[in-house]
Amino acid sequence: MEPVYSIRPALAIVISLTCAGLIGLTGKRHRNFREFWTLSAAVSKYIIVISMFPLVYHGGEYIFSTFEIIPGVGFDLRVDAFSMFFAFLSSFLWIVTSVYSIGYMRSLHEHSQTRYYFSFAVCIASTIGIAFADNLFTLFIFYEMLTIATYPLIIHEETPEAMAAGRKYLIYLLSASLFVLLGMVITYSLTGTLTFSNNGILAGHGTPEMLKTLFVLFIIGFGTKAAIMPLHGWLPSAMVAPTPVSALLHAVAVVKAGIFGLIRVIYFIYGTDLMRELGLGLPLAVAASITIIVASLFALAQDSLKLRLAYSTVSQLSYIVLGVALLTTSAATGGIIHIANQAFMKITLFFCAGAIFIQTGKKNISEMHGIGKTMPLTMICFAICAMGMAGVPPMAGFITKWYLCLGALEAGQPIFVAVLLTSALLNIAYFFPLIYNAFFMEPEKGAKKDNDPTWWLLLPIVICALASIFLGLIPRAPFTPLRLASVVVEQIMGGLL
Amino acid sequence: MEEITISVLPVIAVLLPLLSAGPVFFARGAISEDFRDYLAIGVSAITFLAVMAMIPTLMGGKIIEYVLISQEVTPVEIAFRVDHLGLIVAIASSFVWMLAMIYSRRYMAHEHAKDRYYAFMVLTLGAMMGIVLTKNLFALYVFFEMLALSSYVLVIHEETKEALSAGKKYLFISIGFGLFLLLAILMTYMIAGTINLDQIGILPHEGASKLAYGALFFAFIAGFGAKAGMFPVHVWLPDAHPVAPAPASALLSGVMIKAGAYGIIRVVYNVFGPELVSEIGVNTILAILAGITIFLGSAVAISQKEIKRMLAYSSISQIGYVILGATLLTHEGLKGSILHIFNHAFMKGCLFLCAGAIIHQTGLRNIDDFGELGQKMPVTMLCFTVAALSMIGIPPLNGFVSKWILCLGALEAGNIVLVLFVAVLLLSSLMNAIYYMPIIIKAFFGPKSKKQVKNVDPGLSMLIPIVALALGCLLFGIFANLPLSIIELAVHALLG
Repeated sequence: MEPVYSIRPALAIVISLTCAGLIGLTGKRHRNFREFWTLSAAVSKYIIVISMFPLVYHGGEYIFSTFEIIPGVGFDLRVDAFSMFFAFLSSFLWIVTSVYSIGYMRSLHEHSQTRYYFSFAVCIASTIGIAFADNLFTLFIFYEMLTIATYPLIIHEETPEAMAAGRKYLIYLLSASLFVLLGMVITYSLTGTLTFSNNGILAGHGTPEMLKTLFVLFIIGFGTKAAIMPLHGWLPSAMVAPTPVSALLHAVAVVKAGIFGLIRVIYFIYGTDLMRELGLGLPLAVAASITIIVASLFALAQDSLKLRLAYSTVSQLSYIVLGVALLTTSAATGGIIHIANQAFMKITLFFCAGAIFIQTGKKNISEMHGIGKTMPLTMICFAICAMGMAGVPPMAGFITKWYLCLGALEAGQPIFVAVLLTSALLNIAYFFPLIYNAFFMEPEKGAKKDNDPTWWLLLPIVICALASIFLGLIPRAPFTPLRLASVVVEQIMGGLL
Repeated sequence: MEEITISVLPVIAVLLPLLSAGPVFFARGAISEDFRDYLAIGVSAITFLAVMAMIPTLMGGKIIEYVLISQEVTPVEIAFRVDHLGLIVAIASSFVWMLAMIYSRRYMAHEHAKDRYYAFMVLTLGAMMGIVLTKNLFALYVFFEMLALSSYVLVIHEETKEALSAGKKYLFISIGFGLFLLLAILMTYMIAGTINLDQIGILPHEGASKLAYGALFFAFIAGFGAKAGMFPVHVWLPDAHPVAPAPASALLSGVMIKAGAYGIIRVVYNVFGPELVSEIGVNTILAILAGITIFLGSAVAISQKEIKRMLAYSSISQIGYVILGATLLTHEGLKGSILHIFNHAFMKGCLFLCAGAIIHQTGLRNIDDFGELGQKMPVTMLCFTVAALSMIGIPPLNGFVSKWILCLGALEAGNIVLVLFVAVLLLSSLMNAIYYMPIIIKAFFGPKSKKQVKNVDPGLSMLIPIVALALGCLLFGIFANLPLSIIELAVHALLG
């Protein structure tokens, strides 16, 4: 299908940046007005992304090209099925998170809210930029932008703890991006191009040893953001950020940007055939498996709810890595679909954690006795998504598990099925006590009844929880993430253009 | 080739209870407490009627199918398929369920958290119906997990320390072994390319090595056996069944363990097929496990003093009969096995409801204190006696019929090891007598208990379900042909 030249990909990015500017200009004096910018930018960005959906869904592409930075590499945007998958998800969840943010930040009377919304808008602009990047170079620019823009959000509280977490974050991610840069330079010198291609661009260049080393560089580079162990250290510390930040950025945008980069490298720089030829899938799958299990064990040991969720994120992200590393159709589908499934479920869990904190001031699981009796709606949504994480049907997590296990069997590696199933059990082990205490223990005396939060907070929670069920019940309905993921997989595995 | 009709009846039987869980939960707040109770009872009654309404179609030799969520939108379609095996289990399940609901109204009157109780009762009913009425293993797994999670809430209803720890054990074992089941289903899907339950033996003979097939078989058995309470994965059952409120215990022990047994039958006949099973020889191992289950359950039951705990161990033993029958791979054996699923639902349902009535009226749980109960609660104890005698296998009660057919099946098998099971069955009957007879004797002829208790049968809404089940034990003993007419069609479909 002929690609369509359009300004829309650029517009989707520019609109958030403009919004950031407007937020800065409006400032704290007209806070309702400022929030209006956030919401309207979120909605209009979503509409722009949606407007490109039908064509991409049927295998088409949008292209927006500007100038060449270095010969053969331009600052170009391109929207293919995989871009759409990520952009569609992030821009939808931005709307939801914006609503939640407003409720959250106002309930807590947080300081520096203008800075907060400003950085948030820049983050989303970068995320969409990463999604729409046509080549590794463009992706890298937005990738760095995202790293920087997230920093003010992490240190938002400005406590010594937050500052330390911020420092750690910068050290991890900026050093990681050096690896990406190095990898990029080597790739360019080998091939003379950095543009993503469905069949990969590296085949036929360089020696196998060279390509293997290069792969390690990329894995370290993108793997840090994707929190593959042992490069995950920054993620749990970054939980000092306000909850909406943890929810969107550390469950969706930032960490998934790492995953996104990883998938681009694996399938669009190396290509399925070359990956198989070099045997690079298996070591990555093993690393992912170790992360899955070890992070789950870490999660078991945490008492702070957000920390437990953070380790759970680390573990779940590696499901995606495992899926794409197995290099089979079902596994890749399972991995890619988990980007969306995990996003909806984990964002709900984080939203619930935030709601609990606002309503009761509690952060630790051991203090949350009887909370299901005082905040029923919140905790029901929490329970649904926690069970979904463990892969219990009919929630979205089950669909992931189904495809990943099928993929592992397809690849002739049943050992990874064992990993996935063990992890499911561990998920139950660390979520179940919480649900159980929440619903079956007596709340402490003097706890308020009917303590569900305001609808600003509750609505996002309910919407995302319903989406998690919807994606598990009829995952292959038209225009759902799974359908889009199938398009992606068909392109990268079938080699169709 | 069987004829297929499309009908929404199975959809009603599954989705109505599933979807009414929410309305039941909020009914008290919105309208009134009575309304909630009647709504829950009404839902289970309609479910039962929907199942009954399928009988004429199936007796006409047709099969009902209905695609709920098509292949277009899920990885594997969620579809219903009612054949004779599914139907007979569904009839017994939904009938006992309806009675337990009626019974609950009075029994639970002074309990806490009734909104939750009724909501999860109907939810669990929907999951149970889903398990027996679905077309493929994918949907079956979805409902199977749903059953595990929703029945957990029934197990821990009392929220005592004991109940909570039993519940935890139950949940982890269910989910843990559920993963084996998922693994097995996935493997089957990979090897056979289908997981539909509409033909005999979907696994190809040359699909994998004997060893791999053996492993696959036992992965299935681990998953289903854990729910059925089969040795050695029965450990949760004696803790979890007694701690639930009596009507829920009746369902857990009388109906829900059958979900596991039903699964095992499906695996042996539909997934592997009798030929493949006997070729890899796993049926003998399974038969031995079933034999151990029978003995172990009975042996431990003898030493129990607490009535509900004793009944729970008795269930373990009885589920062994069902599994044993299924492994014989003979017409009579399978017939006996399916008939015992049906009959045991009535017997054990009745016994647990009687135990509940005793606890509700007198507070007595220990068998030693049951002296003179026969005089004080004559109707209850009479029904208890009928069901217990049926359990022992005394004619003309229904337990006798299923044991008789099982024995015939074992003889028909011809294999020495399997013929030995005739002895197992007879010996186990004797053991049943050892633990059931003392209760009956004590209740009617025993010395007066030291504990003074007020003495009446419970109210009609508790008594009617008990009497209905006891009458069922009698009627299906005399008119055993009623269930057998359906079961014979089921056996015919599964064994050719």
